[in-house]
Amino acid sequence: MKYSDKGLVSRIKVNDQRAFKELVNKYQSKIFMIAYGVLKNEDDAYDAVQEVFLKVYKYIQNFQENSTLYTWIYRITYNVSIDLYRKKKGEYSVEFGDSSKIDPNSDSLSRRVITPSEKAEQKELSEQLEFAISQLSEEHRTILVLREFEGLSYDEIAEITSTPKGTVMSRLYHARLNLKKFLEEFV
Amino acid sequence: MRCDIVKERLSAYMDGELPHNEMQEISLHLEGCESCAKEFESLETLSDSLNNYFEMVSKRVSLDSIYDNVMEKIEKEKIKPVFKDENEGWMMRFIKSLLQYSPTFASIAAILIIAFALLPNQHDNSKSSKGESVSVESLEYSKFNAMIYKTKEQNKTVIWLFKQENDDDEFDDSI
Repeated sequence: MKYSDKGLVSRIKVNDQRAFKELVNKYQSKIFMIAYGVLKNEDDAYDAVQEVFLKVYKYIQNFQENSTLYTWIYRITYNVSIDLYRKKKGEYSVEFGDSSKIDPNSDSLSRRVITPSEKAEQKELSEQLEFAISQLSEEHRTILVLREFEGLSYDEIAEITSTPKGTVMSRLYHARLNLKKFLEEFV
Repeated sequence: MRCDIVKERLSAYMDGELPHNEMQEISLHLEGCESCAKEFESLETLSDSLNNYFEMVSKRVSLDSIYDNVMEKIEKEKIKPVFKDENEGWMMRFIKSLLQYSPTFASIAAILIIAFALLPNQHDNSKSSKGESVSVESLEYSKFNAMIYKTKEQNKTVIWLFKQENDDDEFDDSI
């Protein structure tokens, strides 16, 4: 059963552990992707997810319900990830572009049945995307995840990243432009 | 609208984040401009590819143990939820935030808040909103300033002493 965010928050505030578990299940992959967008490293993104839920558990009593739960959680995620990124900045340069972890057989690439030649093309495109995304700045990667994966509005992205809406618009434009440059042969 | 301007705005157009009139203008432009239409199409393809890619990444990592790990850490480190002090009013929060910035400034703010709260319309020997008669006097000396706040009915006196700026940035109060 899917619970509303409001219901989950009310239950967590009275120490309902099942509600907290539900919240973790609902948001863990979304949080992971934002953290991954910033950090570009699966292990660190995994650590960031845990850190985010620890903070959510600790501070949810102070959560003001005039804001939406997901923007509150995503703001925590963004801040935790940025902190971690700054701490580990030097380590990342050698890890970017590692496309060996991609599972080319993943069904998530497409909902329809794909032919072997299409599969090969998609594998190639995924590898190129992996590489191209790794070449972007942390700001551009993050904004692409928030927009393309989370489907957030510019206002929400502005709130989460504490940047003006005009900056969000400009960053998205440049992120897509840069990505296109890397992928010109494939898109 | 010129093609270069349209191309710059296609990203926001695709996201539906432009004002209505610009959305209309670009939509019309795309109908009649092959070059911009082609650009827009490639942007949409990029967006689809990115979405598929992010979906794929989100599914290739198992997050099943996140909840157990978090609960284990909460128990191990004895992490407790932090409760905001509900009794703390906006005035106290305001003064606390000022205190971090400047104790002197905060103390002046505190005086002003008390004065405005208790003396809404008058300056001295007046009735407060609760019916209490109070008087406020301020005195200036060479090394410090003083403010004296007196209530007649309850016979209370509050004296605030402020050191001058060239002295230590601290203050004393006594009742």
